[in-house]
Amino acid sequence: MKSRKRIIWIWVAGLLTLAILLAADLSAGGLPSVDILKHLRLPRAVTAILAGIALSLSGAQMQSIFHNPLADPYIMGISAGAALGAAVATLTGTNNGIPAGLTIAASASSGALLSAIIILAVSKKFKNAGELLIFGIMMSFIVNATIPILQAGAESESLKLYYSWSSGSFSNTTWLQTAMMLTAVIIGTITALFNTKELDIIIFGDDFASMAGADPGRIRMTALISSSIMTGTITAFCGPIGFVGIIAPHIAGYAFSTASHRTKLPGTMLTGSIICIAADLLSRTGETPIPIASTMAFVGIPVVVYMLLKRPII
Amino acid sequence: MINDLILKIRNLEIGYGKETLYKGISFDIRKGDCIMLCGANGSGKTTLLKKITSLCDNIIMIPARIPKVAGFTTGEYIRLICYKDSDARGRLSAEQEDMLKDAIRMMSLDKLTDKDISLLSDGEFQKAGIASALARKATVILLDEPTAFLDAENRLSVLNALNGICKQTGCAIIFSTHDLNDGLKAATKVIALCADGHFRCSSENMQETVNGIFKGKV
Repeated sequence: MKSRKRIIWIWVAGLLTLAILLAADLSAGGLPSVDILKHLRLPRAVTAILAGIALSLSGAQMQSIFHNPLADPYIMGISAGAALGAAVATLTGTNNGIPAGLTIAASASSGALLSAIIILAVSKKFKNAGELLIFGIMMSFIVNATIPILQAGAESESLKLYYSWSSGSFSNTTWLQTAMMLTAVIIGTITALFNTKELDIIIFGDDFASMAGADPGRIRMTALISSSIMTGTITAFCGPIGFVGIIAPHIAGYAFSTASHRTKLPGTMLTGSIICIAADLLSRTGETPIPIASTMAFVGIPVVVYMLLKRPII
Repeated sequence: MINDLILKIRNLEIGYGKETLYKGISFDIRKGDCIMLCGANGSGKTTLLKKITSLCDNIIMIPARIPKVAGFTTGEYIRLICYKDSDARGRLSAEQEDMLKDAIRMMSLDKLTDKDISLLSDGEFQKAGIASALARKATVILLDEPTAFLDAENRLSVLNALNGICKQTGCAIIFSTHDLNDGLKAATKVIALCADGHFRCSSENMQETVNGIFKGKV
């Protein structure tokens, strides 16, 4: 059992290294100049890795605290909050002289943070995970109902800007933005890794957690804070990116054949980064680049359906 | 006899929200007691157990219907309950490891420690839950419907295990159940939440006390 796990770790690490090399070097054919490498390829590869870690780790935590194999930041309404923020910034057409990209990022971050705060504030009122999940889904619905209203009154230029954000991309990130994402991912990851034993316990239900002397509300709160910091920052710069948060934890749990978070969370982080880099590579192999959200959906949906049919998840 | 006393419960009240279900619940929990708690559906058995949990420190309640999550071995599952005492890598002190091993042996789970819990029978899974309570050295173990969904064989095996624990370790057990006849074989005392609003407790006329559950029902 132990040696099998070691082999998987080596495999996964090798795959990740290969993906990084591919992403940085060979994708456009021929060796890139140092400038391209420094300012385009590397930030892009690092962004994809960070996004993979952040979204998959958030997904893994949410699936455990909500006892729901399909929970992730996307479904809980945190991504939706970010989307609303971005929509307000671009579609209302406020021109304040700040570069558009930065305005979207700031506004999307605030949106994600706001929805996370709302979820955290009400989470104490709910007795169980199911009620909280319904609340999150309702928040997503409200946001999705609001965006078309904003779109209706917007100019075509700002519509274009919003669309390019909402289709998701790992490109055009500066080193400053990468540093911001890295900070968020470090904070979120440390919080999650300190919570592994508690996450193991909450899987067995709130009553079981109380029996072990843990506080279910606090475990859920910690996981939500970790997830929203990471998701908010990543979504702000890369746009809403789904599926990786759902599938990475399942693939990791399957490969390492354990539900214990001490192994599953690091495995999930590696899997998530590989998926994001692979999706990014795929989306720019053709003549015209395909939006990352589409690539993710085309690759992600068959995997989720396959896993659903093959074995019960969680 | 007095030294055997673990917990004295006097005039306890239970209810849902503002509605009071039972008043004046009084009974003693003594070392080695194997107490059967019975009552109709919704009579407040779980509420009473939860209330008792809050009365004293060294009481552990094993909830009804814990999900059998795939991906944990039986050993890991039993170990989860000691999570507060374990270090960052999940290791326990030598003394606690011994307690854990004793608990596993007592529940005859030795051969199953490396088996995934989703592959255990419901009876074995229930025993794993009991083992984790034992591993924490609880003086009182409360079990919410440990025999629900079990077939006759598993039911008796779990109930016998409960009775054995009380005799061997001297800790007290309260279990709620609807399997009254099987429960009576293992119990040394019966407490009944009766339909007429009365609380009855007896260690002598157990059968009669059980019969009182549905008394006064219209």
